Amino acid sequence: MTNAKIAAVGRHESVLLFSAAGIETVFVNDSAEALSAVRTLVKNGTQVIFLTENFAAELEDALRKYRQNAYPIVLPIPEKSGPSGYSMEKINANMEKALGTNLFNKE
Amino acid sequence: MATVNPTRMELQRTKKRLSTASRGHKLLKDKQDEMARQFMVYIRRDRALRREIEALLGSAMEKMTLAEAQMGTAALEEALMISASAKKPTCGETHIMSMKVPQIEAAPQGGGTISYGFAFTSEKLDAAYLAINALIPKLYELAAVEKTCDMLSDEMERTRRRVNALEYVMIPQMESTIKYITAKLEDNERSSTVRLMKIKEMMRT
Repeated sequence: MTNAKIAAVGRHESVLLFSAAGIETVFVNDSAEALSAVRTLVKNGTQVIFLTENFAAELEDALRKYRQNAYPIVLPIPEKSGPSGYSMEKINANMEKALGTNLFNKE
Repeated sequence: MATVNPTRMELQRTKKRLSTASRGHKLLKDKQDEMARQFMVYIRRDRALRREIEALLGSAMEKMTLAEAQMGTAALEEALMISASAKKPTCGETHIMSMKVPQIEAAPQGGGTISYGFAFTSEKLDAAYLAINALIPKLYELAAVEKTCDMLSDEMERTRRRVNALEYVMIPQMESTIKYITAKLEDNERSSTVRLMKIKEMMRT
């Protein structure tokens, strides 16, 4: 158990909020910047990175390698404009991958 | 199939491999069942948390933007400098089916106390501050739970592939090899018996 390093990456208006919780914030404007920010953070040993959905969706392939280990965690969070549905989509995709069907469809 | 040597040794070896394979298959099947059970628990939690956060985070961001608009970026950053020393959560690991998955324990936040002065800050900032600090433990939990779901679903897919490979390829293949070898061995035995009978007849005449 170690004290965690946490960071939030995204557009200014979306992640500014996290500085109020004592979380390191990195402001980026496009997905290339977001990717390099995430990479540097991971290199510095950041364990949890909150990344806004739009960038997470664009960088899905590049971020896939972070799925394998317990840390780092790259967590997509909704933007200020509201959830894009990407994260819910991801949950359903996980479900389908794991069980072969989506059990939540009927709910 | 016909590339194996129809010998007793080969037969014995294949039988041994078959028994190992079917034991492995059974174990993997059990693993799959248990993982599916665990996965359901986590994915339910994941969905519930995700819903909650999607509902609340946007409005908190909105409040922060208002605060920034009222106070100006520099003043806002100054006000929040102190909260940069806020308690950090602890990150650990726990095991599910011998997989290391993350577990995050949020440190007790200061019970909603505000760590900046009220003189030069907007009341909008208070609202945003309280909103995000109430959400943060949930965000950490979501991070851990969602990562666990990611890892579990990957592992389950791998396990399913293995189970299927064993069930539909390896095991039937070995079974037919065994059948082939036994048939061949019996054949050889018959032909040698016949040969002996023949020779015996020849010697008698």
